[in-house]
Amino acid sequence: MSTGSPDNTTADHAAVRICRDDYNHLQSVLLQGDGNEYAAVLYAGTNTYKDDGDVILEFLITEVSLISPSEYLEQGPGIVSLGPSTLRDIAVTTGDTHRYSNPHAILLAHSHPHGKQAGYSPIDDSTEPDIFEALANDATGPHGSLLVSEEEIAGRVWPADPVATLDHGMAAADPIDEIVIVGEQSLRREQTANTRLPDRDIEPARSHARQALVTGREGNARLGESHVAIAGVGGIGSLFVEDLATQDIGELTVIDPDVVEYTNLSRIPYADASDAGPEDATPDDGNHPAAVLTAAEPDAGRPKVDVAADYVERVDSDIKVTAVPYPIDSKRGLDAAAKADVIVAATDHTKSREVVSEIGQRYLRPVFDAGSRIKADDGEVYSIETTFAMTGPPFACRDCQDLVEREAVRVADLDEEDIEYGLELLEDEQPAVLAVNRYPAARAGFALYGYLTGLAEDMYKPTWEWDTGSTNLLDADHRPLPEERPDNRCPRCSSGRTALRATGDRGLFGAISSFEDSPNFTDATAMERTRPDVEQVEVPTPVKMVSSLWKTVRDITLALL
Amino acid sequence: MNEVIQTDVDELRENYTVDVDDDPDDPKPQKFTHVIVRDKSVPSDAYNKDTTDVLLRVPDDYPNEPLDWVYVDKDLRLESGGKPKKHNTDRVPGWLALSYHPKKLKDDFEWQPYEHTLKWYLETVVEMRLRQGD
Repeated sequence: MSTGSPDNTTADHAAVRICRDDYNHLQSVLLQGDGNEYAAVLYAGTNTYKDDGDVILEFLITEVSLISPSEYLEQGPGIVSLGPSTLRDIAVTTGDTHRYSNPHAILLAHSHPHGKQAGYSPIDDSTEPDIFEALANDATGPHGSLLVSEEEIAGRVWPADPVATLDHGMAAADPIDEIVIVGEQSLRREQTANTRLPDRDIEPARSHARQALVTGREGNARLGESHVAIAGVGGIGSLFVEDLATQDIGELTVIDPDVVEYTNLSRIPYADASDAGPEDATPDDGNHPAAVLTAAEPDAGRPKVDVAADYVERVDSDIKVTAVPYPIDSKRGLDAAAKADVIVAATDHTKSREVVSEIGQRYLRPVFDAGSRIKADDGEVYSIETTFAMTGPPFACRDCQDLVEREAVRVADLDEEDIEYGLELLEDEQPAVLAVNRYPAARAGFALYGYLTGLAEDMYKPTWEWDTGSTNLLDADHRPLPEERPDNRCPRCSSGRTALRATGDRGLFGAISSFEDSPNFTDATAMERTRPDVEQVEVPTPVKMVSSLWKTVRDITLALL
Repeated sequence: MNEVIQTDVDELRENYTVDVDDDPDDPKPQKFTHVIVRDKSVPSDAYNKDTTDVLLRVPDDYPNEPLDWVYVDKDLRLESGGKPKKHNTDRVPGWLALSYHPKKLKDDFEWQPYEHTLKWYLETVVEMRLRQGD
């Protein structure tokens, strides 16, 4: 599998995740049509985790920059080479980040415009170990390289430890297996020329043959390769569970800290009375989510995530389901969501939806945010507001789309004087109706289906628009969202080295609550139940680079050919 | 204490003496971190003290949720001996809470997570309130 020896493998599976605009930019700067080779640098956050025992590494691209030809030592149809000073500058530049981010990883890309296939040349093989040993000395790795030809792309990951590269040379590198392109209308995977992934099986299951008539076998296969995380499986999230369970989706992660109460039964279509516990039996010790405490509370309802997982298993046991009984705005919730391809935001609170949007922006995960809010009082209805928004990349964050009621977030700290200042007190019990919830869930659910299958592929249907916006069902007043493009001044959804988008594990995260792990709750915390032996990934913490440690004396020519 | 609060505290410590209580005895059910800036100079001669400790009461959801109010020494008084305007002594025991809010800076002010910091709050919101001298 790995090109490296077993004990120096950086990743069992490596991917580059990049927004479509950046990907198109990369292609255009490297393949300029003049037959010459060009070089570019990509700055990236990283996302490292374990899946079924494999170490997964993703490079999350935040900036693509052509290295100016004036900086090349040599350039022509068969060569582009960079000098040590250029590489040193790149290493130094990667430390120029947002104040809440550690330095980015570096991918050096160059082109082979003379061939359709992407294959590293012997000169690439002889020079890359020196280049990446030096880069790993100067800036926290792992780093990598990309090779772009007319029709293919290949890539390599180099170890964070420069000694590994020094000791093993070319054998220290692992392939980058796929490029995941995050577009406005689709998520597209492209296997690299040197991938370790097996050939794809695009034959749909018999039960989904009619679905495949819509999307084609390719679209159906894309669903089967997709992993969706749903944050909140209550009144709206449960409708996504219902939907996705029938779609031949590959993997589903459900994240929710609550248990089923009797008042939920009217809105979770697959829950029944045997799942519910009385509301006053909902366990609460302040240190653990209710769903984690259920083992010790026989009167409590079942965790919503378990009820959802059971339902999916009944409908399609081939779908891999992971149940996470923690809030999305906790470390466990964040870690679980950051493994998925896309995230559905279906939580009760505006503050947790803001965190979902932020996770999406940090880890380059598109976010499908669906919600409803009824303003009513004992039969008098003032508004029935439903909203669907795309709040992850490549779109703007929730804040920039004016979807954050920041003052309403502060419900716990209000007193009379706050209210005097116009802050709004939300009641604990919000009115809710399943028929209302179905409206935004259906709009977002269809968008999710179109996005994952490629039905709305931006390459072919550039005018396709999602049915985003807010609708008041009382008067059918539909209002589009004010701005879906990221604001360049917003650190959360703008791109570039000095922003927080795509920083992944290298960015610092606020607004994440902590919960205690307790051996008393191991039964209930067997939430990663499809993966009971899940391990925490030991990810080296990147350290803010203070100064370059570049080796100034190098008498070799660092050439990329 | 989340990573962002820690980073902001480190920044404050470059210029101030700072203590942190991440499990404070706070009357509200929501979790707060109490970041206490010692001996902050009072930018007005209208008070009975030249310096005061300042409590930055940081919500668990910071920076998505902003700070609010200005908390100073419980015995901070006006020169006249009276308590400062719009005060509250019950909000957080041991502190004099002054009803002053970021919105006071300008009407269209909006808190910007990951842009506004604890140092910014101290040197802008707290500073502006104390400069009022009333």
